[in-house]
Amino acid sequence: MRITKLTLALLTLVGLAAVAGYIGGPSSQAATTLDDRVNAHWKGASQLTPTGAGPNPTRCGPFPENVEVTFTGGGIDTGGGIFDSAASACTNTTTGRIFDLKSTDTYHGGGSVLIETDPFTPVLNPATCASTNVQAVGFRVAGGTGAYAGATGQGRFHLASNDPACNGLLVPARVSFEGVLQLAQ
Amino acid sequence: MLVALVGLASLAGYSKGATSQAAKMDDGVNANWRGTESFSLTNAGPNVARCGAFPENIELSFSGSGIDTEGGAFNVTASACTNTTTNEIFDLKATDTYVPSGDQVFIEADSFVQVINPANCVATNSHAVMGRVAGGTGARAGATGHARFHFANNVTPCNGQNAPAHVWFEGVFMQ
Repeated sequence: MRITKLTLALLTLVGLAAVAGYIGGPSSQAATTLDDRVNAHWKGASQLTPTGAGPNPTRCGPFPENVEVTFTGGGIDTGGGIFDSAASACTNTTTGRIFDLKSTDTYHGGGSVLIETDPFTPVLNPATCASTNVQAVGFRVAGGTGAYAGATGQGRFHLASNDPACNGLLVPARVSFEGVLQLAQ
Repeated sequence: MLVALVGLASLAGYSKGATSQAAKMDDGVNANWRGTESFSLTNAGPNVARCGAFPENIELSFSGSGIDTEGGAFNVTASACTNTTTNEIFDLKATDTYVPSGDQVFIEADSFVQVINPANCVATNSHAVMGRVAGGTGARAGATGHARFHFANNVTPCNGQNAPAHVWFEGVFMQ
C-alpha cells in the first residue's frame, strides 16, 4: 500500500514536471510550424493490426490473386497528436505488391486526415521474419475533416511487419513517417 | 479463412517473393538497420546517483515492443533521466530483446530536449537523436553500431490522455 502510494506520488510528480515543462518549457510553436497552416516537420509513428481480408475485384483485381486487407491501429504525430487509424489496401498474393493503400487517421483532439500511398513491395527477411519496404514509400494527404478539411501534403513512410507464416508470431505492423502537412484553413 | 488466406499470401511472398538477403552488405553489417517501437511509462522516481538531485531530476522506466530489420519483433525495456525544469532527457538506455531468438541489443542515446506543442500535446525531438549500440547477448554479443532516433509522445497533463510513446530509428548495425 505504501509502495503504491509512493508510486502514485512519483507519477503525479512526473505529471507535474511535465506540466511545468508544458507551461515553462520549450514549445514547438516556432520550431515545427512555418505558419499556422504549414507543418514542415510533420512526423509520427503508428501500429496497425489486420482486421479482415477478402475479395474486392472492383478495387483490387481478380480474386484470389488479389486480396483487400483492412487494418486498425493508432499512433501519434506532430500534426495532431494521438490518432486512431483505419486503413485498407490491396495486395497481390503472387508478387507481394501492396497497392491502393489508404488510411484515415482520426485525431483524438478532433478532425482526421486521409492518407494515400504509392504502391510498394515489402521484402521479407526469412532470418528474422520481418517484412519491410526497401526504399521509403511516398504518400500524399488527400483531404480530411474538421480542421483538416482540404488538407494537403506529402511525405515518406517506412513499414515493418512480422510475417506470422514465418514464425507464428502475431504482432502489430509498425509504420513511421515524415513529411509536410498543409492545412487549407 | 480469409485471414488464413492472407497468411498463405504472406507465405507465398515468403516462398516466391524477394528476400532481404541483399539488404545486408555482409553477414556482419546491416547498413539498413531501422525499426519502430512503442512503449509506456512503468515507473518514475528518484535516482540521485544516476540522474542528479531530486525532485528536479527523475528516473523514468518504460517497457514496450517493436520490430526492426536486424532481428525482427522485439520487446524493449528502457530507462532514462529527465530534468523536469529543462525537459532534457539524458542517460537513455534501452535493451531490445528479439522475440524469435532471445538475443539482446543494448542501446545508449545522446541527451536531447523534448519540445512540446501545446496545441496538440505532442512532445518530440526537434532534431534526430544519435544513439549507439553498446553490445548485446547471444548472436548480438559485442555488437556495435549507431542510429538516429525520433521520439513522439503525448503529454498527459496537457490533455488528460494516456498513450504509448513511439520511437523510430535508422542506422547501421554491426556484429
